[in-house]
Amino acid sequence: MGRNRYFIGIIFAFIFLINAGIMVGCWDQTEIEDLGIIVGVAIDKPKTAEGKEEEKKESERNLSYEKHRLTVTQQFVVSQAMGSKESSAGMPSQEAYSNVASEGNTLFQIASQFSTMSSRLPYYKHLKAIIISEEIAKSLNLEQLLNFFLREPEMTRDIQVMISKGCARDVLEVKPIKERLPVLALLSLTENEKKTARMAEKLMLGNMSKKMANGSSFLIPRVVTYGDSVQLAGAAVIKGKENTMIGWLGEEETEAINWILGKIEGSAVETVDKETKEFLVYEVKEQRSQIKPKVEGEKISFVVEIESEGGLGEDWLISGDAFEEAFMQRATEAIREEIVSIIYDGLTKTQKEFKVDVAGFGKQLYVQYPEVWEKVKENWDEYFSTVPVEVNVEIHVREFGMKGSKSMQHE
Amino acid sequence: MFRWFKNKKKKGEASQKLKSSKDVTSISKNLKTNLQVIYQQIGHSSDVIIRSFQIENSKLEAAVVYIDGLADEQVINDQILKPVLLELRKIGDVRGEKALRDELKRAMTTLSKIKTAQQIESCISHILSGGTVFFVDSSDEALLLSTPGWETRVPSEPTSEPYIRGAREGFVETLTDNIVLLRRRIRDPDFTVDIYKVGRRSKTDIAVAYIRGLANQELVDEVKRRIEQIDIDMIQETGYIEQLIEDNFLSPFPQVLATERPDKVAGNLLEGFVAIIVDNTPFVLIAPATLSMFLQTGEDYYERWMFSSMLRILRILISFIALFLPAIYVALVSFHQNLIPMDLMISIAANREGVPFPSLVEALIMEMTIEILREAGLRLPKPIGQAVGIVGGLVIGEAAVRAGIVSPIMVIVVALTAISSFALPEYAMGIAIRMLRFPMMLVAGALGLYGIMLGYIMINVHLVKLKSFGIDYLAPYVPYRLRNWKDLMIRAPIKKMRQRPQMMKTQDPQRKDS
Repeated sequence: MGRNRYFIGIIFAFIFLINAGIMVGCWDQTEIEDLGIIVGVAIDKPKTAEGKEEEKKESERNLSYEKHRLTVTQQFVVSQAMGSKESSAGMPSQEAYSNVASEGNTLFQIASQFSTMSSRLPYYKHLKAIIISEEIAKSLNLEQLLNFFLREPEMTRDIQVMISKGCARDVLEVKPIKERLPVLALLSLTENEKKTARMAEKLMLGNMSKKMANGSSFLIPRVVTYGDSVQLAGAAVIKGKENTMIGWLGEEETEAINWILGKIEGSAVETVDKETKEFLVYEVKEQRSQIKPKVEGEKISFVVEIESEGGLGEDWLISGDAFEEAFMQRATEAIREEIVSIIYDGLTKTQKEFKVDVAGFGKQLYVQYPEVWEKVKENWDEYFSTVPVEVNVEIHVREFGMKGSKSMQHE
Repeated sequence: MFRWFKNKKKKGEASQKLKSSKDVTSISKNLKTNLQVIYQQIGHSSDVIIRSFQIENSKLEAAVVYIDGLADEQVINDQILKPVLLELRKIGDVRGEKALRDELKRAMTTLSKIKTAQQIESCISHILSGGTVFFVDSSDEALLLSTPGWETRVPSEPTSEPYIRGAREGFVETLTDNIVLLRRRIRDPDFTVDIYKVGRRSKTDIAVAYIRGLANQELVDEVKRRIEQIDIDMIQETGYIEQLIEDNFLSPFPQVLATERPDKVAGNLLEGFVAIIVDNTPFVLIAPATLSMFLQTGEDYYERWMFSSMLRILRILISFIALFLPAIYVALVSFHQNLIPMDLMISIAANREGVPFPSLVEALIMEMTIEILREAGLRLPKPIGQAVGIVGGLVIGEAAVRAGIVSPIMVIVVALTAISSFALPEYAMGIAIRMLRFPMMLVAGALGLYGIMLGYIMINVHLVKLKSFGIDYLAPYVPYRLRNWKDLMIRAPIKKMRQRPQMMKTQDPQRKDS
């Protein structure tokens, strides 16, 4: 009897399980090959006059279309083409991506329009990069613009944000040589931070949202397209609170900010030897920086202590002999001066011209003098432009590579 | 309806007959009567041989009864008949039963085992198990002479559990030889073997071996009790015993460990386990069994501890792969694509492009195929079996991918799973896991990773509840006994293993002192 009951229990459990499977499951199920994986999104202003009439009609409803009208280009992965390694058997190799553009007022609306245009279900969980055109960044509040990406649970927080000089769609159109997808090629570029200081630090959507919420100013990496190649260098300056772009930082100016931030993992500094007027290149291997706020009464000032270690990467001097103490001292001094001047150039541009603090001076003040910060934080960017900043650079040229001298005597 | 009733009646009769045969018939002083009784009971079979003769000078009638082939005729002629007929000429002078018996025993002193019996029944069972029974007229006792003459197999390397390092001998089909194999390893006087006869008709010998004064007496009693309770007509293999004495017959997990290796049994006996040896099978049962025992091999103790520990951790990983990998693949591919790194995801998507089935169906098809191939390779004669392996592995796998029925990644998943399930050291655990893989795939196909979690929790709930002879199946994980973890996921250096497993509640918990 007891056994029978056990069996009945088991049978019930089975029926329950099967029902649970049939009735509950599967609504989330989408097979992997049915997804249209979107890896990159570019946001532009509409170029053409298309839809102008519609716009007119809608403008009767008193909406400011000019401000809101957006063109969004999405890069879909064509996984079939990705899968076939190399174009097999002389078939014309299919592009591994397809860019689809659509126009609208809001991003969510545009995103849902894509569903009407794509045979595959648009899938945003692997979205890697958002590229915003200069025009859009200058005219729209980025916090409003990116609200969709931050809100949508399908998006991750490690999407990289970049600003393109010119049209953002062009970045997605550049056909890379070594990679199959333009977006992936772009992302690999950001990994090269180790070798250069001329890119702004890569910016994830999550961090960006944090900065926008704080109201602090920050830099977004700049993407430039030259015909069929893409360069990632320089930065767009985003003014805090307004969250709009106010200008560009050139490559050297970006480098200056990186020196202050202490984020350089490897870079080259080119300078000229004073005696011989020949080039010297300093290879940065390690770099540290410390921003020290000073408060004397009402006056706030900063000292930036920068220390770097590296080697002599290249020199064009015939007599240059790295085994010679005097020469090394001369070279070190030349390099130091060059770095100081680079930093001051960049600092002047951001501090005096753009009147923003993008290198985290305010944060250091907040950490060390919270009561002073409370007083000035309201208008910090404005206030910062009047604060004196002193930069101290210390360079240690530790090595000179495999060959120290060009003359024979030391070999 | 009537027929059924008749059958039932017949059954009742049969059992009554059996019962009546259990009644005791004592041996009479008349040889003729004895032989008649024996003839009635077993003489209908032509291989039963009854040889009557007269002992010279004494006019005493005597007879030997044995079964052709089962008893060794050479031994009967040389060691029983010859001495009795040639040397005992003066036996007629001997008066008195005891003196006669002693005289006979003296004559057959070269025989190893001589017992006496008063009942016909014990004579018959002795005859049926290969002995010879010696009857003498005017004596109400018979001599039971041990003359085993059947063919036995020489111990050879166990095919089901080959070790690289370790003894090359495995158990054989003969119970006594198997006990010898154990006795040779444990010369402890406390090593005890209790023999039972189980099976209404087969009367199979079953030996329960344990170390007296070491094994927990309650456990030994429980094993014996369960064996005594067995009521079946025939025991073919230890599998019968295993299934008749296990705690939960609805569990997919084996609750008694079967092994062909005497060294493994000896090692377990010294840890307080009880071994059950059954005649006519080389597989010996070790009871109780815990989950961790199925993930260990005897060789773990022979190799150096670091390597063995690595293997044990690997086996835990293997069992997870064998159980979950296809399910996880199905869940990731059809529910949680965001958990796959993008490059891999694109490549999976590209590979699945054009596959007509959802991934669950694809996985089920491939797993079924593997099981069919495995079964085919196993059942066929060896040379053909290998051919099946090649055809299955290479041709079908490759062809299925080419034809676009399955994706190449699925083939990798299935192959890895199959290899993992074969890499488990105990076949019984391997098949349990192989079977559970299918429900896991189904829940993964229905509910994704959530389903896998549910399935895993269900398996765990079952395992925690499961007991083998009163010992928790998950011991020493649950209940938690950290001291025994030395011999669990890692195998600590032998120098450091001083205690026997606590869960066994041995009477002598200390393995060694220092």
